[in-house]
Amino acid sequence: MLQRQVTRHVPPDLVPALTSFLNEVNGSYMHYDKDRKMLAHAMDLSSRELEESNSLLREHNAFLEQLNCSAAHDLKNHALNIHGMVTLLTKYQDADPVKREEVLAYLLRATAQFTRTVRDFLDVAKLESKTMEMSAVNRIDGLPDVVELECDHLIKRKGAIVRWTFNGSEALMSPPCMKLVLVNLLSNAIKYSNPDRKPEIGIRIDRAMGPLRVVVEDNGLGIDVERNGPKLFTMFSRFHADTQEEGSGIGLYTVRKVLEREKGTIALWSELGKGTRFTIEIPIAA
Amino acid sequence: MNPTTRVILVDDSEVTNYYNTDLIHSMGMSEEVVCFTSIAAAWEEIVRVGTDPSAGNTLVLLDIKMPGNGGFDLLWRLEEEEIELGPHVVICMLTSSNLKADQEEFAKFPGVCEFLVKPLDASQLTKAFEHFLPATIAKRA
Repeated sequence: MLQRQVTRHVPPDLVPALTSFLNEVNGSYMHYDKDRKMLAHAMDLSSRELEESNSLLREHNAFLEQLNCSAAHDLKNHALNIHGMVTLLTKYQDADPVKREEVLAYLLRATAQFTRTVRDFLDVAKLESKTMEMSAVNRIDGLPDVVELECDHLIKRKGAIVRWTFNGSEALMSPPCMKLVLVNLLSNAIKYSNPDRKPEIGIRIDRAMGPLRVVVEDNGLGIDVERNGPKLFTMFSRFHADTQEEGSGIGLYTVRKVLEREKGTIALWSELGKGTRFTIEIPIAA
Repeated sequence: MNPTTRVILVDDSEVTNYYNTDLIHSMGMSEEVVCFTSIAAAWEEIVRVGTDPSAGNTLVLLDIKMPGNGGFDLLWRLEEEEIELGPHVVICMLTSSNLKADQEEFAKFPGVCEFLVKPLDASQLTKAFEHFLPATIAKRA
């Protein structure tokens, strides 16, 4: 069409030059149009990205607020307890030794709870700021030592038996989150053991095919999955109200978070009174 | 003479219960202090005492934030099951985090007498025990 217009209105000797000029102009317009479309697409994309990161930030803020609130609540409680027990120690300093021993035992409990809460919250804070120091072990078969060392006091207190089995995984390098995950799952398994029997925990690390699969199975109290399932891996949820254990409600949350980061999954089977089994899968490089 | 027959403490921390028990006994405020570490464990006793007019004056101190059910869950359940506690029972919330949301929840239960912030001390306990003065009991009845 352009060609026809040119030949009709322009002297013939100018046609070739003008045609090529017009073609060039036309081409640059088309180019401009393409640029414009791409720009529009990019703007659309960036506003969508902005929206996404905005909602992530909002979620993170809400999380931090909750963390802050919960830390303040727990730490205040433990601090009040420590203060209370010190007050009682002073009050009963001339009382009979049995009474003082009793107060001292409570004081020790309160300080241990305080320390554990601080440690738990620091872990989560580090996790959120992505500076968590992950496992120091290299080979997977080095895990039993470091994990059991962390849970040593619990294992001894409850006389727990921990059995480790490896299947084709011994010589593998341990994914960095393994120690943290196993310490959390093992200490939960021992903490919420059934008072009627000795806690026995089996930890199976399997690499028969595909991803690394870790199964942690106990004979403890069990969890009411139907009732608590959706809340299990959320922060500050605690399910065993009638035990002496005073957790902070962030252990399983931490486990979920570190696994998410390594693109792993966690599944749970449990039956009240029988026990609990966690199955974890983590993709690892061949 | 003790103004109450018993105090029921519900708090997931045994250390807190131990301290509060000592405080109540030292003030000579109750013949008996019964401690529970969860709502589930305390439920039956609170209902039994609360629905028995001859059980004697009873002060219940409920912690708000506990694993599983908290103090407000007990109040909701009492409402749901239409269980009315007698005027010889005084319920107070006892919490360490003085949150606005908790205050608002507290306002929904006019039957709950006080919103106490930890640590429990003599003046707060005195305030709670004032609800057992004969005139105040008559008003609740």
